[in-house]
Amino acid sequence: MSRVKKLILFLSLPLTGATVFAGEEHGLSKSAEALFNIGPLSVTNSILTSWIVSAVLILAVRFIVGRPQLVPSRGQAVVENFLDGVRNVTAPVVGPKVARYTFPLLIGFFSYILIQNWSSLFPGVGTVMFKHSGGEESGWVPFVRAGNADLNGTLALATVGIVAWLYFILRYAGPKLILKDIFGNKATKGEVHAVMYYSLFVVFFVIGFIELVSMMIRPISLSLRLYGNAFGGEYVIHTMSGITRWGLPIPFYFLEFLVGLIQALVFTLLISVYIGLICNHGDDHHKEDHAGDKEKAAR
Amino acid sequence: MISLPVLAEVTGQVAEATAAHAASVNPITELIRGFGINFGVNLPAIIGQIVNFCIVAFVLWKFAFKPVLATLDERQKKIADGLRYAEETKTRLDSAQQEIADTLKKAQIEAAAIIEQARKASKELAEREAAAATERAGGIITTAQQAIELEKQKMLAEARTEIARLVIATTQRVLSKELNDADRSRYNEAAARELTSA
Repeated sequence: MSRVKKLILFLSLPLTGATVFAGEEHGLSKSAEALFNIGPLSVTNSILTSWIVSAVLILAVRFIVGRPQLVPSRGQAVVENFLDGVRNVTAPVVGPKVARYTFPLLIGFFSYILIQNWSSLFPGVGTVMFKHSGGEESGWVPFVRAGNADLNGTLALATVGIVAWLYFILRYAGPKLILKDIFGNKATKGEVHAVMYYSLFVVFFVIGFIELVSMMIRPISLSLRLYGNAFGGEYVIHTMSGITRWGLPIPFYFLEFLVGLIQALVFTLLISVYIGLICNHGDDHHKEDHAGDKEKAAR
Repeated sequence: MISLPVLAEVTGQVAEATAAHAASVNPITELIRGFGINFGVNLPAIIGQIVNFCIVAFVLWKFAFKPVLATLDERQKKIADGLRYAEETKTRLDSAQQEIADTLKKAQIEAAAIIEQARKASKELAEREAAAATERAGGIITTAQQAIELEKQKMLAEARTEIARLVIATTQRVLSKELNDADRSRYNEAAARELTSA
């Protein structure tokens, strides 16, 4: 197939909605390829990459930070700014009550996802191949594959996120507040007519079930969003490199650099929002109530 | 033209998926199975990745981020303390300067008062001393005058005695005779009388 035809095909793919299937044609499968087994765990190229990247991340951060000093080294200053930046973004979302407790998890998510996303941009990821024989997937298989370009990885992250979310809302909001938040009437008694107010109880109760469904979908949406972006990015770069290795993939590397950052932020912020929706909510109401009381008192 | 086989493949897969869906009993099980087949989702891999993430997040937090944040917070505290200290020092400096100014002013007033007092005291002392000196000088002059007078008297007495002796001696030589005691006393008295009257 000539390069021009490939390009035309690629550009026509989004229109036909057949992008995913064409990926198979280029040898990039939707699932990660198994390399070897450790007990029941089939270690795929994606898992191996995430292990290597994790180890590099830990070592790099430890190396950059060293022993933290009051007068920071350059590396320490970079890490400090990074931490402070993420804290400033997430703390107002989760609320002041739980910000301190959620930060270790959120910074973990952000740094892990960011580095896993960016790992796909390194030379060799997705391009160093080995000959896989036997089974259904015989042929050339990439030896390393980005950790988030495997649904198992993103599902794991989403699972941790949701379990942590459950822990935080149960620990810092309590079942009563959670139930009130999901099924309770959000209308203020004084602001709407009494009939309307009491009928809204039924409406909000039904909406509560819809909310429950949306909560159950969260792990799926979280994991698929991240996987879709990471896999899509890798796929685009893979295809572009397939068309021509010189020059054409470069803009897409920049794009993926940005996408990797944005997706890490999106995932972290969504978990923050989920926690904040329950935990931050109550405080605001209290504050508003107090503010209202003060206003009334002032009048 | 090229996309036709792809489209055919898509259509085929969609048809297969629809058929599989129709045949399945439980759609959720089928969905999970579909994920497993299409995306290689399997429980050990998920658990492995969960463990991996938890380890990374824990290690990063425990050995890198937490100490850095602790340092960050400590530094912020130190800066805040430093600023507060600077503010306190400034206030203290201001008050100290005010105190110094007050003290100086007070000292100047006190010094002026002391100088005035000293001037007054020295003036009084000088006047007193001058008076005393005048008095003392007067005393000395009087004493001196008295001494002079006494000296004069003494000298005159001596002179008289000497003159008398000279008169007698002269008279003896002139008269060429030894005067007796009666003559000597008479000449003495006469000479003394003459001298006194003179």
